[in-house]
Amino acid sequence: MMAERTFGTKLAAGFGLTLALTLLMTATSVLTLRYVMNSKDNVITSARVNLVGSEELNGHMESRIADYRAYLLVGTDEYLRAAEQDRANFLAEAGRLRESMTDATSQELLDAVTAAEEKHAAVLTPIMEQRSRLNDLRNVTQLAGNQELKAARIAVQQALAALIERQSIVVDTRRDESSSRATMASAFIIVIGAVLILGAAAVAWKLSRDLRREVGAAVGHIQSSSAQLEAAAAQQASGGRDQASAMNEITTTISELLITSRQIADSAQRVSKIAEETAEAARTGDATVEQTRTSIAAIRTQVDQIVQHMLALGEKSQQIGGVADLVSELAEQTNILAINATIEASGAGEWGRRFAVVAEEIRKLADRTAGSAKEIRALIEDVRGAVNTTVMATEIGAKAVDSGSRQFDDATSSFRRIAGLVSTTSDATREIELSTKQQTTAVEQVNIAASDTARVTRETEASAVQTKQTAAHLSTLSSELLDLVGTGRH
Amino acid sequence: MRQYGQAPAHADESAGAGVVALVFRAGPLLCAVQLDEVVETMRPLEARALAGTPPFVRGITVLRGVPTPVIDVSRLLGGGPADAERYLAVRTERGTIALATGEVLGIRVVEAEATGGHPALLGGGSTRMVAGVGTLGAEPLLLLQSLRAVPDEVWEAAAVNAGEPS
Repeated sequence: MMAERTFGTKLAAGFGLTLALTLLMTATSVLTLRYVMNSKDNVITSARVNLVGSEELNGHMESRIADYRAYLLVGTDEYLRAAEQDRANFLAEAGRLRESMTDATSQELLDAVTAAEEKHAAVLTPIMEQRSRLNDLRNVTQLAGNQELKAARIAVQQALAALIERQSIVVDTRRDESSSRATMASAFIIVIGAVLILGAAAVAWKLSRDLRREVGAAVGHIQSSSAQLEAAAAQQASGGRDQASAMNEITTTISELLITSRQIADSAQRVSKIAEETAEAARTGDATVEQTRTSIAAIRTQVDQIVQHMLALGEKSQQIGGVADLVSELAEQTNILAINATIEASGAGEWGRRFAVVAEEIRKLADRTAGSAKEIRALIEDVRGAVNTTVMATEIGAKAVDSGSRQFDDATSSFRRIAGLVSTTSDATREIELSTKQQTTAVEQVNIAASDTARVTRETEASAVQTKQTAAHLSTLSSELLDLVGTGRH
Repeated sequence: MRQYGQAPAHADESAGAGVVALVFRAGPLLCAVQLDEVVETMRPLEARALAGTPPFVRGITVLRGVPTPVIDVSRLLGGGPADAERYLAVRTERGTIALATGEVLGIRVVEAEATGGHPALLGGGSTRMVAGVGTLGAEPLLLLQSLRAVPDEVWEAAAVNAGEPS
């Protein structure tokens, strides 16, 4: 997990750990010092308050003894008040000592002192009253109870001596305890310090090891990468030279390509112009086709009218044939009548012969009429045949016109499709022209870019040489850094 | 047709030499009948066939209310069957008969030699109808005599049929 962290993080963590141990040691030392100081304070307090208080208590007792002795000797009130003051001080000090003492034995000894002092006071009081009543003391024996007082005084003094001794013992005991605690605190601080030193040493060792390992590895990588970079820069420099020469060839080729593109653009422009002219011709041809369509429709109408007229002509010919048949019939009748008239006239003498001549002429006329009628009939049959042939031919012609019209429609649609294709071709040619112009522009831009690229390639070559030098320098620096780190790989 | 125009001039020129006759066609043959024997010409009328008559008798028809035998001239003269274009009403000694003929060419003056000089030409029963043979242009022309043309049995049959309602 530590291996994944950066070296700065590790360094910060090491320093943090060391700082935490230092703080721990500082706090522990402060706490230990405070503990030792409290112990010593207790010793001092015990010595200053209890022992000194006991001594003062003894002093107050001694002062009282002196004062009431002086009173017993002198008998003045001054010494009486002083003795009373001494007892008050004694009691006050005893009260303070009772509050300050924590030792049970000392408490008991203090109680013993207080009790002895009470007993002493109880013995003293009658004596003091005796003295107050005496104006002139000439012998101690004047005062009764002197021996009891002495015993009480000795008891008090013994109790006080025991108390003082006990307090000395308590102070010594506490001093010894405090000294042992101070010794323990010192040992504890020494242990903590040792732990701190060990932890700091471990952190330093770990950081140093990581620094050597990681920085050494990184510098080793940098060194190998520098070598690779140097090799690559050398290769890039040679490649840059090759690329520069290739770019020169590319520039030359692009220049030729530019010339060709311009020629193509000119050709495309000419083709576009021709295509536009073709489209215009196709539009004109479309109008002509439309006129031709109209003409064909008119021809169809005319052919229909011709058929109708021919049919009417056939019908009229039929009627003429009927008239000719009637004429032929009349001629035949006339022929028969003329022959009969001739026959009749032949038996009627001279007048009959004249009439016969007339009748013969009539018969000839009738024959001619019949012949003419027959010719007319034949001509009419010819006409009818011709009409039928004409009608059939006309109908064939009409069908041919229809077929031609349909074919012409096909041709028209083909022509329009051709016109559309020509238009499409014109558009495509324009697009080709435009595209070729754009291509020419693009080729010019490519030419410029190729020139720039050639320049950049030369610059790249120079940069590669410089990079090679820099890589060599970096490799040297890596070796030096490895020496500095201590890995020392060469 | 051209022959019609030439005929009158030809007739006038030979009026005293030949016989005036009515010239007509009978099948492939060219025939003529003396004009004196001809009553009239007409279109062919309906003829009813008669049983037991020779083949050249087409039958019997009614001319102006009179039952009349119809003789097919072409078949009679051996020219084979032919369509009748005209009927010629001809007088005979036993009455009028109708000759079924072809086209009537007109009246001509016909010069014909007697048939006796050429018996080989017209053998058989038909020879009695031919009075003589002449020419018309380049064609032979038979001048007919109708007196004995119709067999007696025909007349008898005609007489029988005349009594029946027709």
